[in-house]
Amino acid sequence: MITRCQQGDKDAFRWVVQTHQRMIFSLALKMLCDEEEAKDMVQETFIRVWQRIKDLDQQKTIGTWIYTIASRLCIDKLRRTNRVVSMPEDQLALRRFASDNDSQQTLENGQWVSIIKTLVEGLSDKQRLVFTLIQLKGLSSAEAEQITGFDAKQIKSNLFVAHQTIRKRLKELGYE
Amino acid sequence: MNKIDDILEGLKGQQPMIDDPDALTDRIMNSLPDMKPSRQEDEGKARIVSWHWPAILAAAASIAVALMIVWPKPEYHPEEPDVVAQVVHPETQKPMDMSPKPLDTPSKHIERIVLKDEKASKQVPQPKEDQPIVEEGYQRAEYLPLPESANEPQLHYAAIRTIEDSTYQDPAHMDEFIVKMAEYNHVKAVALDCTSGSGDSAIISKAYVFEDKQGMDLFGRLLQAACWYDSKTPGYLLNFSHQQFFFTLKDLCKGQKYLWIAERLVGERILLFSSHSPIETNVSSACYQNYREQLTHNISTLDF
Repeated sequence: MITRCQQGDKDAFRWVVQTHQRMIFSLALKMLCDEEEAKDMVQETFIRVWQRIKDLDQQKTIGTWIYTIASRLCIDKLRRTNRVVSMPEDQLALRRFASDNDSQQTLENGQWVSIIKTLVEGLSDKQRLVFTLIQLKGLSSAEAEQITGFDAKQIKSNLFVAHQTIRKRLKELGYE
Repeated sequence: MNKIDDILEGLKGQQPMIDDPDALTDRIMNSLPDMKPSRQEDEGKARIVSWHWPAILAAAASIAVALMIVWPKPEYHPEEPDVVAQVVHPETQKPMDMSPKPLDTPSKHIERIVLKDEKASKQVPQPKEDQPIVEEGYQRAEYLPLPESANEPQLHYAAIRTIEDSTYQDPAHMDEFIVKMAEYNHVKAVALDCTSGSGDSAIISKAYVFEDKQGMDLFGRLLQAACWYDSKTPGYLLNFSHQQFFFTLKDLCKGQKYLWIAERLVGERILLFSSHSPIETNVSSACYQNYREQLTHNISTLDF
């Protein structure tokens, strides 16, 4: 399929988009905290992927490669745009989620945005990216290293600081 | 699930959903540009170009040498005098164009400074209008026509100074953000006349009425947009509460001042007022108050 994409086959590329767009949207929504901006970011990511797919080494996983492009675009975007500020309504969404004992509950995108805003306020862009990849998306440290280009030590330290900051914040909000 | 670990663990297994994945796929596919050549192809082209350059330069150099050899040298006429007079007309000074150039980008300002050598102009004696200045030279005797550029102010290249202001934050971005929000939520802008009697058309005032729904979080978004600006931005004043949002900025480059007010109203609505005008103009608040009154007391008659 990748070879077909590299030859300019748009039908093959449509399959790549359909397969990976949700995971990129998920990353972008958690990083940018805005549904429309997240969709724009998905679009921008796949345009870059299409433009550079000829350079993709087929030994590498395309998913990781797309994640790398999306992560870099998200970090660039965050540097240019606003700081995350959570509002009382956002904290209310987290409280609702936390008070629901149903572990299978499904969050809507608006609730996601509110919860993420509450959690990541005060984190740096790098800490936010590492926290999102490992804690929220469940990737391994090795995958996070590949995507971000950080070494193991940087991943560990960024994740540690992110956890500490979030725990402190949640404790202030009355969580144990 | 009040334990922090439970909350974080609960979030781990969840994935946000795209409301219409097919539409997003189509949007992406429709926006795909032409494929760029791969790096290997780029490098191949670069090698070809780098091989060609020395050949082109060598050819150009050999042509230049050939021209120097073949070109006829100026002939010497011993019968003509060496010392002759050259007539120079007094330099006429034209008023210089000091109007600012239009800005290319919001963050890039090009300031054109015309340098004038005042000392030099003082040292040159002023000629009489009907008497040409005669000075000695070593060229053939002739009246030299003045080149057209002689009437232009002599600009040194250093006179054009480019200032890159990377810290410039255009207040108009706030309006762009509001327009985007309004379009997304299908809210129409209502133009208000906020002139203070002088009929100043440079005051642009608009009002938007948004639904006060939690999913939209207009106050939060406005606050986020306002927080993007550095608090040292001229005219920066940010004030907000659960009920009201108030934000002002000034753009000294464009000579504009900006004001945004958002207010929660009865009927679960938010009135957002935006205005920008030249810094020296007085913007009346009566238009905003009147519109707010209409909205509060006669909500059904308004078109929004």
